[in-house]
Amino acid sequence: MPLDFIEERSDEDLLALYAGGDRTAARALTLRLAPRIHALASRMLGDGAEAEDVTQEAMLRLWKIAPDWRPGEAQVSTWLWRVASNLCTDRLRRRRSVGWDIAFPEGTEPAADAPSVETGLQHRARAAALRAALANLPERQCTAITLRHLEGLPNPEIADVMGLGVEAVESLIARGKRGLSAILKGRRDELGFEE
Amino acid sequence: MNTRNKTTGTEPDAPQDVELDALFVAARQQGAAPSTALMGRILADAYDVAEAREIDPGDAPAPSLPARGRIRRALAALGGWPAVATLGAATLAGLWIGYAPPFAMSLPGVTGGEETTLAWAMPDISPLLTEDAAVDG
Repeated sequence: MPLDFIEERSDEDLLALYAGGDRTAARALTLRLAPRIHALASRMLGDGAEAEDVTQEAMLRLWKIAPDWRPGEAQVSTWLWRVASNLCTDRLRRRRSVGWDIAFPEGTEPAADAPSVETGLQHRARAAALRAALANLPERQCTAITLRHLEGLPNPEIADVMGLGVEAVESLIARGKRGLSAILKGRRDELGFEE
Repeated sequence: MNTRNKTTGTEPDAPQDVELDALFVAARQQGAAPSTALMGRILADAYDVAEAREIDPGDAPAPSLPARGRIRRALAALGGWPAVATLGAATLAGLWIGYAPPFAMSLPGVTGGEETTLAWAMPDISPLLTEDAAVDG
């Protein structure tokens, strides 16, 4: 099947084509969806290997459900966000159960005296600080903040992903941001937020 | 940020929304692309799942089917059981016509009770059915 034809099809159409045996559709879905899921998992987990595992597992579940997909009931991307964010949440819970230091013996948080004056280093330090702070939020706040502010999903779609109402999502995001501010309060200078 | 704090009048030592936004921007820029190996593994999973379901990918060899499945597909390609039954009957009739010797047919009453044979009217094809004829062409 021509690639330009494939690229114009919706996720749902491609999934139906894949379920019917079209390998081109599987390639198109992989190229379209896997990078987004990988980005979400990377930002929630902050660990490349774990993010790859989550991405592969979420996509595998998509392949398996393809023949049973009921058109019009949900968006493929929303379903996939839900699966991936749940997988990430499970891993975050497991990390907390064994302790952050044990799960990441080499440390994922930036060193307190890490240089952050240059832009590139500062961006890296800020990203790492945010990731560490997110990991200390309650899981649902972490998921809502990541989907909203790092993946750019609108609140109604986040509500679909998380199986919540829009108001509950707004509340999670507001509380999450307050939590982040509290966690990062003592690191403002280090992160370049000078008085 | 100082500017933000002056305009909003919020606590100077608490990270503000603008500071969080700066962190979000930094985090968005740190996103890593998935590796080629990961994309390959995902696609391999897709093909494995498809083949496990015994579907027939368009650009790959068809997975082997159980005997009953192959027979069912072959019958469907021929037009189903009715078409196959008709084809079988026609084949048997053709064999019988081909191998039966010239026959005589009685036409009672046509010639006042005498039997008239039609054997003379039929072409003699028996030489064609002998092995010698087949070998000699």
